[in-house]
Amino acid sequence: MRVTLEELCKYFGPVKAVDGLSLDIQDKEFVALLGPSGCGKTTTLLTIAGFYKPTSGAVLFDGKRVDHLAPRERNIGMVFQSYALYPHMSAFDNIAFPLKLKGVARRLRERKVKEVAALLRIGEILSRKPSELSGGQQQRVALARALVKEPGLLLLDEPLSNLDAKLRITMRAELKRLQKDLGITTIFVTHDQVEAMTMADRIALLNEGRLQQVGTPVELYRYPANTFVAGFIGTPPMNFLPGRLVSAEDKLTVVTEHFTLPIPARRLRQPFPGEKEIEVIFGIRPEDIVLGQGAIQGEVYVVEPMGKDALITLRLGEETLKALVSLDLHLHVGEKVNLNFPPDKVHLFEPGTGASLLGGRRES
Amino acid sequence: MVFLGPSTVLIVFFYFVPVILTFLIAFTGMDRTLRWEFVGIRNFARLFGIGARDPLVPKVLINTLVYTAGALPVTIIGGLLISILSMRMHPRAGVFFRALFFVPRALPPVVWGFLWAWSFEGTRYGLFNAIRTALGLPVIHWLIKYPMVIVILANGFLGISLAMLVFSSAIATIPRDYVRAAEIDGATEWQVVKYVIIPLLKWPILTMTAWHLMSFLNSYVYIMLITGGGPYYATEVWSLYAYHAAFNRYRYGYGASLITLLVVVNLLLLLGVLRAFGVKRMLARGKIET
Repeated sequence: MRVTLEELCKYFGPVKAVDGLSLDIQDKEFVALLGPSGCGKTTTLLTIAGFYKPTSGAVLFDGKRVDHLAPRERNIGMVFQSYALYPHMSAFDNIAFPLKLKGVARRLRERKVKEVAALLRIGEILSRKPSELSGGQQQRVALARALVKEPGLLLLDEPLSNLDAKLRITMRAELKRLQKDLGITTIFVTHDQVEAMTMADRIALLNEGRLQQVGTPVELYRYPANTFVAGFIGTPPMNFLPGRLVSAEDKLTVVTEHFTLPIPARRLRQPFPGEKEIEVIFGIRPEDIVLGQGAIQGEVYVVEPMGKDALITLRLGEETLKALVSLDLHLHVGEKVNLNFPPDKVHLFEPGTGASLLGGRRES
Repeated sequence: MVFLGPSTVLIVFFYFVPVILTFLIAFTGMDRTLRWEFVGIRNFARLFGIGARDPLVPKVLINTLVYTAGALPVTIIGGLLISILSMRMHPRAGVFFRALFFVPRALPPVVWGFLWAWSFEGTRYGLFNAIRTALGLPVIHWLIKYPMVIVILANGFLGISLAMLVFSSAIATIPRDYVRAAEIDGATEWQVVKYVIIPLLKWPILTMTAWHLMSFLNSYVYIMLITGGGPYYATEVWSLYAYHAAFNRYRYGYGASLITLLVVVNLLLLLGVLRAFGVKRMLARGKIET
């Protein structure tokens, strides 16, 4: 099922929970709605489900408006953050509930529940009540209940957030595989960028009710549209430094208090004509900083070994930067170190709007 | 212990002492002369129809059962209806309806009783007969034709006021996701109520059923105020009969024996309820499953 959001707005009194969200989700696509708490992602999901009426704008399924349809008329499966398993029903009855409401005959009901239970490997626990199930089992039952009626659209509201860290990694891969196997269009709400990056075909990143960027995980990582996206995607987050972009003799240079760096002109989104300079925010990801070479001098302030890599906090005068480098470099606190920012990995943003000044998808 | 002391003394004096006195009086033939004349089990023999039997006892017993069997479903079903409807509508409208149905409990019993007595007054001065008269219809002698229905409703509405309050607060604690999940699963409003809300109210419903079962078995105040037990014993329930025996006919001994039997029935019911609910579980914590 194809899902289209057209200029979707949902206001609660003066609060603009969702503000002008347009998004086109293809059939069989796995899309993550990502953002910090209060960004409007759950409101968006509940509006798609039909629990909220949009203040303005529209939700379309396969090109048809569904705003007048009740949740039960939308052929949606949903997994809630709390799982919302009915506590008075066994796992079997929970899963069979949507079929029972549809009036599916008992025998067919049993067969379908067994099928979906086998798919999710919960055949053994069907007679238990939700309170007798582990978090992971509860999640599978909730997923089975959402899938058993073969919905056109699957909505997942933070489905992994109640699982422990280890199980979360397992379920991430399983959910992704399941979604591809079943080919159900899936919208997935999360505040965890790692979940979104690892699972989704595309990510829609929201902040304060507005869409910041939509694209594949790699696009959001490599070409963040603004400082919010740049700071939200990637761990540890991107380093930002204030600076100026200077154009002289057809050459572009970023000038900060501690270094100057040439920028290839072809990377600019818009040509930068004549002699002038503007304020910019310089950005570089920790993993893109090269240590041990280059003209810029810094001092090692903290070393945090993380196994293969080490997270180094560097001081450039008053500024601090985080760099993710190989542990083999054997850096020590207080050591002076040379560093380099590869010009193709550098990001530049406009200070006022936060918008990226550098081009989108062109590979350099 | 020290702080519980004073109220313990009060409970002993004003609860246990009267119970023991009643129990003792039940074995006397005490009348308006207030003499302690022990007559053994003569009162109870009369009650159970051994020897000189009381011909009214079977009727009073049936009245009590009919009355309880009528008022209990009115209370529980009415309470569920009001609470579910008021919790599913706009919050302000819900508060208004709950406040409206709480009025009976806020009124003094005498006011509530006379409100019903006046509404169903058999002359054209009663509320419903005034309406009928205005429409050109003949008056109906409500309290003579339908006395039991009227006392059942009067007490049922009183029961609704409490049950509705308990059910509403229980519904308020049901996580919203349960209802949403059911709606996504394809449930209509009625199916949400039937398959999700009512099963989750199991404990409040059981509590209110037990509470009102005992309450109705023992109640007589509103019946006394509305019909006085009449016409001709049509609404004379057990505790009202005991009251009449003791304070109208001054047969304290016999009245006490009627009450003693009721206390025994209450104790048995209480034990049954405690066993069914599990005393420990009931005292332990809130019983709304989440």
